[in-house]
Amino acid sequence: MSSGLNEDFLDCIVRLEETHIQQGFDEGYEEGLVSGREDARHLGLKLGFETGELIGFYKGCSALWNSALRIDPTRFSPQLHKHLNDFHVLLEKFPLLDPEDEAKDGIKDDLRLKFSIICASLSISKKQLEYKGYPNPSSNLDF
Amino acid sequence: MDLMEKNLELVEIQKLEGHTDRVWSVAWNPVSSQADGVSPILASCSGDNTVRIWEQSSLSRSWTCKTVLEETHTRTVRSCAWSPSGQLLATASFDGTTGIWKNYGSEFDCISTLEGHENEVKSVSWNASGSHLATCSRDKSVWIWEVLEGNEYDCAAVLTGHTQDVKMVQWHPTMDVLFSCSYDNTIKVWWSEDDDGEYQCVQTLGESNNGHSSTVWSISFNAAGDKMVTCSDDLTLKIWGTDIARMQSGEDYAPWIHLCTLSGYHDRTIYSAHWSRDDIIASGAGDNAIRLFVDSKVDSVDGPSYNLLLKKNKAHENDVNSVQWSPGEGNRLLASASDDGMVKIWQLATKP
Repeated sequence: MSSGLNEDFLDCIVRLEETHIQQGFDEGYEEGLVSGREDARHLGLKLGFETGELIGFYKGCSALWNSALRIDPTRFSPQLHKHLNDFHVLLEKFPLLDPEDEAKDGIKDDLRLKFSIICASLSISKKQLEYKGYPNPSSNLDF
Repeated sequence: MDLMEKNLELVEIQKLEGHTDRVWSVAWNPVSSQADGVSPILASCSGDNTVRIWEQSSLSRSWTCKTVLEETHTRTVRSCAWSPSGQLLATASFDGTTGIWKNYGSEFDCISTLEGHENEVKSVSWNASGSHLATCSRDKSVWIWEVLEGNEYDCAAVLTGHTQDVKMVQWHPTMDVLFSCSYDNTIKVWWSEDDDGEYQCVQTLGESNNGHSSTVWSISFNAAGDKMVTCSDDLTLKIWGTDIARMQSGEDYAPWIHLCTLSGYHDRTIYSAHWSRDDIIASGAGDNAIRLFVDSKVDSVDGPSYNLLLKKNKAHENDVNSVQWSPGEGNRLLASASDDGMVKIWQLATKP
């Protein structure tokens, strides 16, 4: 017990540097939390906006195409009807309120492909419809 | 007629100059290169964003550039293919589009542009009847397009499955079965069982099927359609075969199996392989050489084997990107395209 007390007594001198380091770390951590939260908030807003913009764009296109379909169902081929339906189903399935959902990226890729197919089937250029800031495909690491 | 017995050589007939960048691919017009009294026509496509149409003069027997298809593609034209009727030329470009050009005698007009791929289109192929086209891209997908009236093209199917850049697509010479090969080392076979336009991947030829161990660059079928040759970055050519009668009877899918691997003949990537009507396989490789192979006709339990007929060193001054036999009977003409910017016409002839 007394030897234990002696070690503790000496410890605060011997470990003075460690104590300072720990104090510095703790202060930095606290400040980091504050600025980190602020950065995270900005990033979250940015990514949230981009996702909302993309899904909103797709939903707008889907709504327009489906209205055209209701006016004249015979105008489009049965295959195109199916593509538009698949597109609609994917949009409903998209986890808009759950950013942690891992299926999100897979659905985004499927939506992107479906959108390309529908444009190609309608013989319209994707570029004519795409808004400024339409994202590139998610996996860009190709050589 | 045993080719190995004859003393054959590959003679350079002519060097076609004009492109200002590497030439990626050549394609013989299927109609004009065969008919009597009609001059053979060859298309070549290049990194200079253009396609050149070359014709052989019936008088002088020399080849000249008849026309240049330009100001449409904004990037390299990687591949070109004539429709079976010889009337249309499809051009696949790094700008993400596929151009369809119609032959109006002395001029070609771009009558349609197929968009859909995310990035560079690598290859284009017409099916045997000319009713469908297939394209493939670095975006890992294969698209099938249906030819409609009035220069209209409809997207019939988008096939995903490859895990990397798809290098080439090739329709089977007689049936509507599509083949694709990729940077992912596999060859995929796509077939619509009920012929309803719903294509599925019915077979993947990978390393476990004795397949290639690196990028597969090219696929070519023999005239009968029961064998195909594939070439790869793994320095081998592989011969595959199928029970064509079973496939044609329409009962079910007859799988392709590995028959033979030609290894030890190449020490650089083989970019192109083409199977001639009289069963000579030509290969173009990264060592600037062209090689010709023939079936050794040795009856063996292990399957067919092939011999090197001849090797043309320094066929070009750089990588040989494409080799294509002329579809004409009897003349044994071979066209080659290279990174050196040249297209060359060769003739396989007996040494004097």
